Amino acid sequence: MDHPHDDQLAAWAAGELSEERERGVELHADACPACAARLTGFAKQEQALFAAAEASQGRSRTPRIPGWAWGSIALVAVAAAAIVMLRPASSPPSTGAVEAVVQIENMGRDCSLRADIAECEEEAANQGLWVPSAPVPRYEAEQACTDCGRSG
Amino acid sequence: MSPARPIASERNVEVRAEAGDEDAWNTLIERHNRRVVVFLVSRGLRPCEARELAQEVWMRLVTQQRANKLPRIELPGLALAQARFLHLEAIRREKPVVSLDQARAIQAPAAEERALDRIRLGRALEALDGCGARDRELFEAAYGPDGPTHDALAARFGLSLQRTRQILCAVRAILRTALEE
Repeated sequence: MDHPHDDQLAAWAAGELSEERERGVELHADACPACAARLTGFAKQEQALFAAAEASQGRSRTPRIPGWAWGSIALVAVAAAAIVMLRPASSPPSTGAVEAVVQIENMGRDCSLRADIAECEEEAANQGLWVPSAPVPRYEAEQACTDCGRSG
Repeated sequence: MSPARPIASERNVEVRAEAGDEDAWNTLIERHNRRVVVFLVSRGLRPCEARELAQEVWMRLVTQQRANKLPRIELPGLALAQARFLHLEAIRREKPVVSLDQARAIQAPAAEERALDRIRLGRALEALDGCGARDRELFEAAYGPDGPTHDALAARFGLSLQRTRQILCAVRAILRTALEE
């Protein structure tokens, strides 16, 4: 296959090629570093399109507040702040809040959910199983994080 | 800014996968694997490496679900996060003397690049504003979390398949131009 044209690479990134053509582009990129680099560029562009769509969706869901309403909102905010300041000392968190905290803590122990090396290694360091300055983590994966499957 | 919540059918499939339904997993993998592969290629992997790592992503997620470690499945975010993690791991396996900070530096874009990304995103949104409301909604749906097929989009918007593809192609071209400026 000759070097694919930009349109073909863009179509690959957008998932618009037939299976056969898609395979052809991939086989070529696997063997041609220059085209692989070009493909990376188009893949990055595709990621940017996803980001643009997500940002645009976020704007669509945000309710638009007309200018005349902002004065009323400001008054309500001031009144609410006054109520908060004048109320007695805060009561203990509700059961729901406690459950949410527990869930967050559990998620931090599961690197598949957080998918963040820092989370796992912080946990390992906290348990005295890994020295942060070491180039290669030395810890028992099963003890620090039963999920990541890494070995020291 | 969180993505739009999945449509009911996508969430239904996710719930079934959370319960271990193999067919549901197959549906989700079929729906989101391409996104994971393109994501990994965008991070510099060659297509064959990206496909291999994508398989590992799904294997890892299925294994975790079977071990009751996945209380909630939300795709494609969960798969992309796992892919990012495994790619970072792969870098560190190849370069064992690379520290965590060095591995992150290899992975993470520089500050200037991040700033440029924000500027580009702003230009893309401006360009998207210049498209018609229907075209914009079609684009948002096409790039939504549930990854609908062109057929599904055409049915949802009451358009022909050809027209749907034309609109998406046009909007993409407008946004790519804006992103390259």
